[in-house]
Amino acid sequence: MDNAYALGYVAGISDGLANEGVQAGEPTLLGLKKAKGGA
Amino acid sequence: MSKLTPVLSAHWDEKDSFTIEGYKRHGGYTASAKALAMDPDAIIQLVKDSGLRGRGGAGFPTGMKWGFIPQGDNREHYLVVNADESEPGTCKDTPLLMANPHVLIEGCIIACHAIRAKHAFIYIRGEVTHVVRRVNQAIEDAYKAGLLGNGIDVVLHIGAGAYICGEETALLDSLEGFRGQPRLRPPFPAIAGLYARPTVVNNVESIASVPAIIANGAEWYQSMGTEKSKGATLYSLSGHVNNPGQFEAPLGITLREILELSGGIRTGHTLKFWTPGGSSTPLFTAEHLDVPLDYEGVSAAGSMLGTKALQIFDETTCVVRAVLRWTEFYKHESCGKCTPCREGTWWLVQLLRDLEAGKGTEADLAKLLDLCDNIMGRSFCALGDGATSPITSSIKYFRDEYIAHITHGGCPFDPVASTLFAGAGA
Repeated sequence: MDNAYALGYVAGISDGLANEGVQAGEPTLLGLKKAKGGA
Repeated sequence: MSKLTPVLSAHWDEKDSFTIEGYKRHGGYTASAKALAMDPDAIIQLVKDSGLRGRGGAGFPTGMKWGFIPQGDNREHYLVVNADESEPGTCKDTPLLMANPHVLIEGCIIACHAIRAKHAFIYIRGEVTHVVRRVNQAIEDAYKAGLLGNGIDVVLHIGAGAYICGEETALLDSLEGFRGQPRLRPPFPAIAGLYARPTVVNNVESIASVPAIIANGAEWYQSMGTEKSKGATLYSLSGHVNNPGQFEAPLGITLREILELSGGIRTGHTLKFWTPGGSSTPLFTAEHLDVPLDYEGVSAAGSMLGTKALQIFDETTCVVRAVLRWTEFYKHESCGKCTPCREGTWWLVQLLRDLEAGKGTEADLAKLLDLCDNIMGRSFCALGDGATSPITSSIKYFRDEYIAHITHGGCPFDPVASTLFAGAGA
């Protein structure tokens, strides 16, 4: 666990933004929508 | 009826698909619990029976690779996940890790148990900071939930942006802190890999496919795909299409079917050429629309399935220009270890630049092919071989276009016409 934290800090990425910019875009999800019977 | 079979991508449309709660809601981490209660050899046999093959490009059977790890040798074993996705056109691991990083972590737990490893390293491309954040958070959450740290640890290692580090032995050197350059094989990583210990190196998608196989069984996985290429996989559609994106389908689907499902080529245009598996796989043309996109089908048609990166180019694209851009990439990314690749890719770029600018001659085409012949099979790793694929295949299918650059005294194409903003009046 410490390792993961340390690596995060080294790269400057444990910055609380892990939940940002989340969803794959509409075109990316088209394949899934088709499979689920939508779109 | 849709031929799409979302397994990895089944819940990507849910807002919290990337969280541990979202993953658990759909049975996440039940496969690893099941696997941890199984005999490691039984897991390896199950993965062998499923027919899962490496999704990083080579298509080597995953279970067989795991089976190469010597057992009972009282030595440390390692699992290394290759998340250094850098090939032009290849874009499946990034959305997979953004939408569902926990499936990879669960796959790591299962694979570590199977090969009797205590440590898994995820080597991730450094430029994709958003993915690094996402995976880092997922690892942290898995530790907090007690899923990691009980005999199996996962370490995220961030690469520094070298394409060569996607080559498995260069990746291992980089992971050890050395300059990333490929190693001579044998010994193979299964015998002497990371820190000279038996190591399995697998692609993100290969490891992420394992939890579903453990949960649903080998027969379920075998029910998808073709005779020798089992299961479903992510096809990454990009370029001159109306709807680019990830399409998860059984191996053996054709580009024609994927285009029908996705909305086809850019409206008002026609398919000119495409790559079946990224820029290092020989080009296909419209005559290959019905080639089954599985390992055997693509190989029989003269190319490679690679990473299933379907880059689509319509008739507005200059093939010489596209090939030059790819070759510039390979020249820039050549690690310099071997002469054929280091020197050869440099010369390939010089010749292609001349040809594109209309300063080449027909003799240059012969020289290009001769250079490719001297790189192919003579370079230290597959990067050199891959650099020749777009050149030889483009000359095979579009020789007239190369000649047209010579007779026209330059590129006969309007470079703006192939852009997304063409016709926008900007």
